[in-house]
Amino acid sequence: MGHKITISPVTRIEGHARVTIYLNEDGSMDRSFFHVDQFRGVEKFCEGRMFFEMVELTRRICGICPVSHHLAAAKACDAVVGATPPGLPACSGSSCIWARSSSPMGCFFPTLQART
Amino acid sequence: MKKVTIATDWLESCAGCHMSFLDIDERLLELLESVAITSSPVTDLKEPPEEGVDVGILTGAIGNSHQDQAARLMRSRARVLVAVGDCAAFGGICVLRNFVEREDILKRGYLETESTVEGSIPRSGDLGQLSDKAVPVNGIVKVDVYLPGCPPRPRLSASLFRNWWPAVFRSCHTTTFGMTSPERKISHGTQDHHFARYED
Repeated sequence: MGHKITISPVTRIEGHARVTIYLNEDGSMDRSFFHVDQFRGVEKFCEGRMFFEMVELTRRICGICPVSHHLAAAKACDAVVGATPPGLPACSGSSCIWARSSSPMGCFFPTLQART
Repeated sequence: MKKVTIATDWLESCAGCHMSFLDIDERLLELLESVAITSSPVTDLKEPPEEGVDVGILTGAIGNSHQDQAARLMRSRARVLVAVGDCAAFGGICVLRNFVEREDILKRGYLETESTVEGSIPRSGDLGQLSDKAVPVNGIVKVDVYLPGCPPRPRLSASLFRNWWPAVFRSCHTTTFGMTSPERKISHGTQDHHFARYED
């Protein structure tokens, strides 16, 4: 049995990932795995709940991009009740997405490292 | 003045608490004058340094064996442990799964999802083993300070660092570095826990 290298956590991404690399006796790579092993069971515990709770629950899937999950769930809820939102709410939803993706949040991470 | 050293990690969380912390915006720069961040999910240091840190910050509940280890490691190396967010403080949405059997959750997630074609439940030993129940951080290790909220408001994170440290350190002064047992009883003076309040 060769050597095993574990890289954990994998930085520069959002998420809870790790990489495991198994090496042969001669140091060459045997197998490698990329694990994302956080599992919260959202698929299961959402079952049987009131549909309008999904807007709040699904945005907790990811704290980096909650807006996308929120709006997706809101659209699904609209479909469930068969409603079509009028122009303004629909428009504010899209602008919310754009605001989120252009957020300067990314700048803070390098700042954090540079200053400490 | 010596900087307060901080280590932080996320467990079974969505990263929203860390994002909320970053939302203190320009106050972050002011904060970094007095605070040094050692290990965090976004820095190169993976684990809290062996010599210990003043403050350990955990976000998220504990739902598998890796998170359990991470929480114990943080407790053993942090003088003050802060549970940030509803998941870390009370379990949050992570404990909703406690009402369902573990195998049913795995089956639904990996085999029966509508988009799954040929699914299989991963059982590799390298993976963190899903625990029967998700628990808040204080279900595994002793927590000194709770900062609830989903996520805690940025203002609250900022006031945690600005206003509360003197009180927190006073009451935790008997806590020592390098504890070997996470279950070790920690004396907290007269007050057992500090609960965060919006008062800044």
